[in-house]
Amino acid sequence: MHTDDRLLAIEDLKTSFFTYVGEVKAVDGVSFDLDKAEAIAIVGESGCGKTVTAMSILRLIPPPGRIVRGRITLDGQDLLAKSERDMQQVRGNDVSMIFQDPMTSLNPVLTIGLQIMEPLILHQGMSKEAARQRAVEMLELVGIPHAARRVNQYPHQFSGGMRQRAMIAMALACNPKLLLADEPTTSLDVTIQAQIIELMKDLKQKLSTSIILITHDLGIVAGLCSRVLVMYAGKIIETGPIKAIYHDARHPYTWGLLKSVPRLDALEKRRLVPILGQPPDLLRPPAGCRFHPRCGHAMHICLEEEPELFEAGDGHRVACWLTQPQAAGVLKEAMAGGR
Amino acid sequence: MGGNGDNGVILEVKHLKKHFPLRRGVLFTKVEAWNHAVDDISFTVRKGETLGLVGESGCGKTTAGRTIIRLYAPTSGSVTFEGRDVFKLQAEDLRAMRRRIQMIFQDPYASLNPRMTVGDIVGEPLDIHGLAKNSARRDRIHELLRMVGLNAEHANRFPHEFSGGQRQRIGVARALAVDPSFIICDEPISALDVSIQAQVVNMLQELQGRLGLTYLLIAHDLAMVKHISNRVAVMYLGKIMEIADSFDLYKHPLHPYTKALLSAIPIPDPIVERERRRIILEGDVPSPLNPPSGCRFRTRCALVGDDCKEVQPELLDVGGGHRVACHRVK
Repeated sequence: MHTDDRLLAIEDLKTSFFTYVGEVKAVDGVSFDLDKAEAIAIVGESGCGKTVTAMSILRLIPPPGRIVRGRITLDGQDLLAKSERDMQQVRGNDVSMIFQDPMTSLNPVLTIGLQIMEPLILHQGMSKEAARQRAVEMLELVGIPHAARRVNQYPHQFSGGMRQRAMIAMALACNPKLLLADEPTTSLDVTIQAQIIELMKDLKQKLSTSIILITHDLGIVAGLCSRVLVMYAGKIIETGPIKAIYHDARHPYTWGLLKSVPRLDALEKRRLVPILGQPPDLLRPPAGCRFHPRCGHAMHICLEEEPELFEAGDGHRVACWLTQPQAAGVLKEAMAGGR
Repeated sequence: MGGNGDNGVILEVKHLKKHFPLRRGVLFTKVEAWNHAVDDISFTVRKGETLGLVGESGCGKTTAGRTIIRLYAPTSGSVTFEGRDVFKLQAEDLRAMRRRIQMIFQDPYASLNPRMTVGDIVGEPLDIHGLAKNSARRDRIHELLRMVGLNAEHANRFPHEFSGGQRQRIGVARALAVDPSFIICDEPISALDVSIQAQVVNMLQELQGRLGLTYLLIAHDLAMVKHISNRVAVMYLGKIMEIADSFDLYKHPLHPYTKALLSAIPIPDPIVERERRRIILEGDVPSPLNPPSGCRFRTRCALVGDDCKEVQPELLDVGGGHRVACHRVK
């Protein structure tokens, strides 16, 4: 069922944490796919399951968490059927990840060079000399000046932006098919964020790596990705090409996300429209649609039955009862209220 | 209450400097270098307005805020608040001033004592300043909690029972307890989730209208600062680079640093985003231990000339209260 361009397919992924107080369904039935050389974004707030989705792909869910069911296929291989040993060959080689905080995810007592060389020696069987050569090349590629000297320095000698560049160099050293970028710019200043986003765009073109960008910032998505998945309380609630999400969003949560942040290019001051309430407790998620307690347009059915992802045309899919013809009246009212 | 300065100026900062010593040696007696965290900044805040102070990490914006209310001892300069020189106030007068200026902190997890009930957190300023006792104290606490959108019942709970947004509301209630006229908000929303940020921002704006508050908003999120502030000051390496009415600053930025900063902010709209040209600054911010001579921004500026190295540009008015410190702006 997968075409030649398909790199990753996730079907009905469910990852839960079995805590003393009960099962926390962090990711609850997520399905999506990703083509080769494509960049998509998973957008959502803290606790919506976006990071757990990425960690599930790498099978790095710490106990008491566990992947309960689902299928993850990377380039035709079933990742969930692999042994732990085989999985180690996938991590850092086929799939690699960059994290939010470059300071705590680099080893402070090893030089930057050694940390980039490690996966090259482990996965690609390179000699030390060749790996060092490649580490210098990678640092040059991500725009670190004096790479040959910098390669021998320790993380504390790098600034925040340079550390994130070094992380990217490390992640891309083995030429992975898939890069998972978890909030790669959140801890950085805006001018440094712009540098890193430019770098990722550039590298995506040069190396044709597929990217899954995980973020809460709808701004950085707009320039880098072609498709967006919006997650809420462990589920995908809307997905589609970026234009559809930004200009023709159909889910009230997506409207809320877009309207609760001011835009820099706004010409007048408008009151922000916050999303009322708070994200639900995943131990006891609300019945029906998980967003209904915070939704201004909730109908009877939303309290009782969970909406599936309905087609809205052109790869745009929305899990909301408002998209159904029976709800046309409510939808019209919602739109008139300026979504 | 309190003497008003002329033409509605509530706070005037003049040539404020705060340098931190970097010590070494066994007893840390030797000063090796000075960190020029805030280096000669001047600005005024008018009554009832919001002045945004923006800049990247390490630019000195938080130090400036803390020095203004004497949480740090200033190196030099003066701050006049409601007609009185803040740096000359002694004991009782200093305490009275601190009733008029309050602060809201960035991290709602670290700025509330986990062992105190919310009622005691909000009531502590009342005790310290001797403002209310017994039932009056309780009533005031309940009133404050309602003002920030919480319930009276919340007074008996502990901070860990609240979400980030609610904790920030508790921090605001605590600041309002002593009836201040001026609030320094240090990154009040940056630790909160997107959907919660708007709730807190709207609350701050409502309170400002209702109580006639003046805000100094210290933040790095320029889109949010533009949304909240009447005027914005841009800081870089301890200095103010540009200060202007917020819409004016965003529409006609003059300083090369302001231009780069604005262009770096992504806009959540793929069509607009495709058209935008980004000014990517090279390298990193220099160390404040040894800032560049002349203009602080010259090491990363595309328009740099010889004069930038030698002469420090002054913050000059280019009309309409728009002031900029750059040799290239005429």
